[in-house]
Amino acid sequence: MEQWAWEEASEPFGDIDEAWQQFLERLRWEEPAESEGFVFTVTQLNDYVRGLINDDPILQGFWVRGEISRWQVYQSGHAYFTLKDETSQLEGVMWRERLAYLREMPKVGDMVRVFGRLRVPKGTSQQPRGGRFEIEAERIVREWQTGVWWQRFEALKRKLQAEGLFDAERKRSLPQFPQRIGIITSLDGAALRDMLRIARQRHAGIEIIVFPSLVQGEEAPKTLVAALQLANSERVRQLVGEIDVLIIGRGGGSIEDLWAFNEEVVVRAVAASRIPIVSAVGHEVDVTLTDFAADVRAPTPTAAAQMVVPDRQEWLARLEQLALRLNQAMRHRLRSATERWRRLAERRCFTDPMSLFADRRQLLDLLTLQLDKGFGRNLARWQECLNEWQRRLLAASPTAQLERWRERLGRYDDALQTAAQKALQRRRQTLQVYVAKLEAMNPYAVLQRGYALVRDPATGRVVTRTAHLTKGQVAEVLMADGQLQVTVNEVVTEDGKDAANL
Amino acid sequence: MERMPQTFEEAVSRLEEIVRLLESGELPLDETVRLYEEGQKLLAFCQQKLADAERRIKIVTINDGGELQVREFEGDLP
Repeated sequence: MEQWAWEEASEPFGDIDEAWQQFLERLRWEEPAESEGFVFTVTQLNDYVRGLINDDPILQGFWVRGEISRWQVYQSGHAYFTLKDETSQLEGVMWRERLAYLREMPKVGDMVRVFGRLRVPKGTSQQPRGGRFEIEAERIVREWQTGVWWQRFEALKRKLQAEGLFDAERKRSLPQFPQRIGIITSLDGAALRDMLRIARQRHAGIEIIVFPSLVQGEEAPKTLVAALQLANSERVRQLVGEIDVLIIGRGGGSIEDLWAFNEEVVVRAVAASRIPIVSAVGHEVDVTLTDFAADVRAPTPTAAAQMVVPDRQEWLARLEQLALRLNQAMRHRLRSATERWRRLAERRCFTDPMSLFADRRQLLDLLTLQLDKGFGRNLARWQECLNEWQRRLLAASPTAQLERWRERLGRYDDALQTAAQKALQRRRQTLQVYVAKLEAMNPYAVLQRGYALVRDPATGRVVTRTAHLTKGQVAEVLMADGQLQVTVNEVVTEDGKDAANL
Repeated sequence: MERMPQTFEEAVSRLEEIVRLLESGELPLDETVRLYEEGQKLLAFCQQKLADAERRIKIVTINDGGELQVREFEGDLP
């Protein structure tokens, strides 16, 4: 039906009213239902986008770099400008109050860096504004890397680098424990106070010599160089003593403020410093040629003071540690020495020195025994002899026979008796000779002949070698009729005799 | 007899050397004792350096006549 109607409609009509009706029919057909989506008003859409932008933290404060392609200050005092780069443009506004802080008014063609937030401007009924965004600038600074400063910086850096002023081999290490520190900076700056405060906190015993100088402005390079030369001079060395390390620097500021530290004379004077030198110019992000020429670059003056002034507490702790290790090592060493000594002392020769002599003593006993035995054997033999003689004697004087003889040969009695007695006498004499001989072999009998025995009272043993006694030792001297307690005055050992043989 | 060091750095590095030597435990006893005594002296030297009293801050300038002038820093330090 409709299909048919459509085909009908494609037919050429002469009647405009009919054609209008058919067009309305078709519109109704193609239009979406009203309930399918929300319809913004233009203002609502712009507000929505504004909300998105306002909610974005990055867009609330950022830096953007570009070239000024339009700069207009209106009657109101506000400035309207355009930033551009090769392919894009960004509109911007800087309100009157902010404009007052600008160091210099930007010009068309300047490369700048703008800090601000993004906004979507609101129109009014008198002046509706389009759906576009712009930057609300807070600060505008010259983008110096493309500017004349940068070119000067780069040119001088290349030149001095080529001369070898920045070579790594030239860099000296800083003393670990300086006695005297020189600081070249402005007396009025916060940098000096920061450095002095840090130095005091770390180690107040370090002497600090300040060489005042201007740190910005036209006169600054000249005074910086003068201060550097002064600090390095022999006169100052004689006046205040050897300065171990120098700090040259100042607090933060703009590139222009810090420029003195990029001046050739200053950089050269820093490189020429006899005393090791630390540069401490501006903030962490600031880099000057002085930083390149110095032995060490500190990010800030505060950091320079921390680098240079030794921390007393830290060193005390380190020393304490060393003292501890020293004492421990010593204790340990002594303990091991004692241990070794004790092990030595525990050895048998020290704990039981007599054991060393045990073998010898045994030998001595053995010899003594053999000696005794020898004596004993001899005695026994003599006893046997004696007995034999006695037996023979007895055999030779039979009483019965004597009786018989007395009985039967009474008259020979006396003669016989005499004869017997004579024989006995003879035998007795012989016996005495033997006994005397026997006596002569008795060691104690020798004493009768004037010999003496020396005995060690401690052991009770006979001393046979001079080596057995030492000077001052007490000894017993045995004599025939008693003994003497004597003290050895001197020990004289005859050469060639082995005193230690026994 | 060993030379006493002139500077704190020298003293500390010698002290560290002595501690290392002693810790190796390979030295004869008399050498150990000698080093220990030297170490004690070095410690005293270093501690004395650290105990140094607070020093004034000086300002050195040259006046118009080219003479050196030394004065003391008079500002307050926090």
